[in-house]
Amino acid sequence: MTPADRFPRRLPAGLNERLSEWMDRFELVAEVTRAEHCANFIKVGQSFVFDLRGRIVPARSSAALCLGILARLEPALLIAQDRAQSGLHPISPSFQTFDCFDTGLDHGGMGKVCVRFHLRDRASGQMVEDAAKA
Amino acid sequence: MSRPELNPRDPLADDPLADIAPQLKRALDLSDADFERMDPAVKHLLSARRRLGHSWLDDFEVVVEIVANDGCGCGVEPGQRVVFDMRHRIKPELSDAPLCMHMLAPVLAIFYMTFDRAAEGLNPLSRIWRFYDCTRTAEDNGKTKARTRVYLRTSDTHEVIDVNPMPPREVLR
Repeated sequence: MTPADRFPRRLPAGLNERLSEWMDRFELVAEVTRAEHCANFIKVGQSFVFDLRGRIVPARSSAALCLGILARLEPALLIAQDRAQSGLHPISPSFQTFDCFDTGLDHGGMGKVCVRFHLRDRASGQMVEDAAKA
Repeated sequence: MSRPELNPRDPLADDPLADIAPQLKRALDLSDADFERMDPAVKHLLSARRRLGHSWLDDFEVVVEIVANDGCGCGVEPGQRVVFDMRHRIKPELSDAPLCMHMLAPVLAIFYMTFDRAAEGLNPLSRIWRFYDCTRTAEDNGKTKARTRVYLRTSDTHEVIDVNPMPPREVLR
């Protein structure tokens, strides 16, 4: 008996019929909201840009592509994919702000970078507040 | 703020790192007070340049090479590479694989080890943890995944470096 037999896949109640369109149209932006003593010189206002499959788009990102923050964002990318698949706005209202793995100067580390996620229309560059209505 | 003495005999606790402090203060916007309250763990991290030379972070690269792409929907292909500098920043200009974070996030552990090992005078790349895979696990219990291996190379000649212990770059020439 395979795992699939024992745990039959439960399809989400409402699969997003616009998922393919969303994948092409939107991008995830993690904008730096705090940067202190960052050894990779990441600055407030810079950003990391991802597609909805979880791939970083270096040409549209302005921050140094530091794995110390990027790896920390991977759960956010999973959440965004999960929500998009279900037709929900890809940015979770519960998990929008993330920080890097460095614990900061007062906690045994060196620096600290924080980001906040939003969704953006790739063509217009405008923030999208509700993908379902866009 | 008082902190627990987790490592009270740390040999770098009272080391001012005078040989590298001026550059670090300037580069990282650290004041004297910041530097004085720095944890010995960070001093160890910074002291790697005493072992591998001041330029070690620029002298080498970590290459993540894709070795399998079964079940992957992100477009990675075996043989493609993602190149990192030793500050764990992706070098997009040297990378030819899609920069999928589900594949790359687990590789972060490598860079904790590179700093730790370099501070001990070892080759920054772990001899053990050289193979990684995507965080996505399908219903085949992980048989199909994007898989990667990592290796260390020089930044200038791209020669694979697998020596231990590790001398500074100029000694390798």
